[in-house]
Amino acid sequence: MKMYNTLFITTFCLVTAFFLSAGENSHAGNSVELRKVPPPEIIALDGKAKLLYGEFIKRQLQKRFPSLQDVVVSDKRYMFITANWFNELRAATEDFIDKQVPELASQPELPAAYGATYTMLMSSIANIAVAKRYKVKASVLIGVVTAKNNKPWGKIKADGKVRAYLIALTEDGALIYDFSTRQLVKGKEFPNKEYINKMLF
Amino acid sequence: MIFLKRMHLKIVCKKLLVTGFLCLLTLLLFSGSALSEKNDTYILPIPGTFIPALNNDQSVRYITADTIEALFQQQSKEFKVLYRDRDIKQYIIPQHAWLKDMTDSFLTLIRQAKLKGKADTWDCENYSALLNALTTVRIWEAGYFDTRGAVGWLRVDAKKEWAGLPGVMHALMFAVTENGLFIIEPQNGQFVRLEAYPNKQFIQEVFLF
Repeated sequence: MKMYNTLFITTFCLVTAFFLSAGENSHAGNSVELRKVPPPEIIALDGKAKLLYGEFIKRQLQKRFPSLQDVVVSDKRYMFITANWFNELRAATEDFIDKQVPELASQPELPAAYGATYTMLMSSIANIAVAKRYKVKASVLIGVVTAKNNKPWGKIKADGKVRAYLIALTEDGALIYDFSTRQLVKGKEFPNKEYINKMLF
Repeated sequence: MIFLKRMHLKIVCKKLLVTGFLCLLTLLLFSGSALSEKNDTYILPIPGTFIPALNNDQSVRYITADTIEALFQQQSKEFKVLYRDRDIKQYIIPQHAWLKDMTDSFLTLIRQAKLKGKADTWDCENYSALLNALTTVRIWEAGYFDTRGAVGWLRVDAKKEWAGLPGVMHALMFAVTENGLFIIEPQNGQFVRLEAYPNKQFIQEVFLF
């Protein structure tokens, strides 16, 4: 009798283990690879992360860009990252989207909401990396900026339409990135800086 | 002889028991404890292919931003604004069961990545924004490039506890499915209809992108 009990318990354990593992990996058939991002490179000042308050950034931006109608700031404090790490984050985000949606490359134009979705993914990758490594109460400033396309910029012709770009706060100041042409420029050199009308980060 | 056979069987059983126990222990320790990883990549769980909600004639269901805004306006006395992408005319409605699958795989992801809330760096807004973005990417993957999902996130000055989280200023995800407009807590996957959400009247800002 004891022997059968033992056999029963063993079988029960194995079956339970099988189902537990199957439940945990129920998405194992559907998975995607995400390229590892190198450790965060944040700018320090006197041994602490260099920070800017969200409200301060908002006031500065409103003073600097009279055309700015709307600024939505989500967090209290923001940190500076290196331009090098910004490029790593960009590469990881693009790699993730390309692997999930390989058909995107053959599309004539980027899908609707591409800019906002790209920004949320990149910001998530950045903030997860920082949260896992540092005890800093601030977030990486990665957001969306929209501007009237009144002046040409590289491959982008001036058509007067509102266009969305990514903005990030780095050691080199603000960086502006165009999603479709993959052009990158410092905020100061952005040709349509006088026509910026919205920012969200 | 019979005694020896029984002894042998007992030993086999004991061995089986020990093996079973070790298998169980190993599986419990390693299943879902961390993101699977190769040398230079992480393996992320994702849900099945996006499934849209359908009309009676089997056409895909869409909703406009104005209709979503009206639904929030009806329920919230503190509602201020719905931010939207003016280029998108209509938003595709996900099938409720698929959205549950999406949320479940997101929960698996945050559990495997051992993600925990951290004020200002990785907080409620980040959870909502990430689930929102991953949902949109899945919709593109299904070939719906000219629209985005009728999903987004919102800010609420919550006064009452809901989904195990206290009544404070909070960010949550929302989605429209064939069953109505739902508020979703991305940190634990709880769903509630907007009409039944205890803090519905304190929803202030809605982000449909």
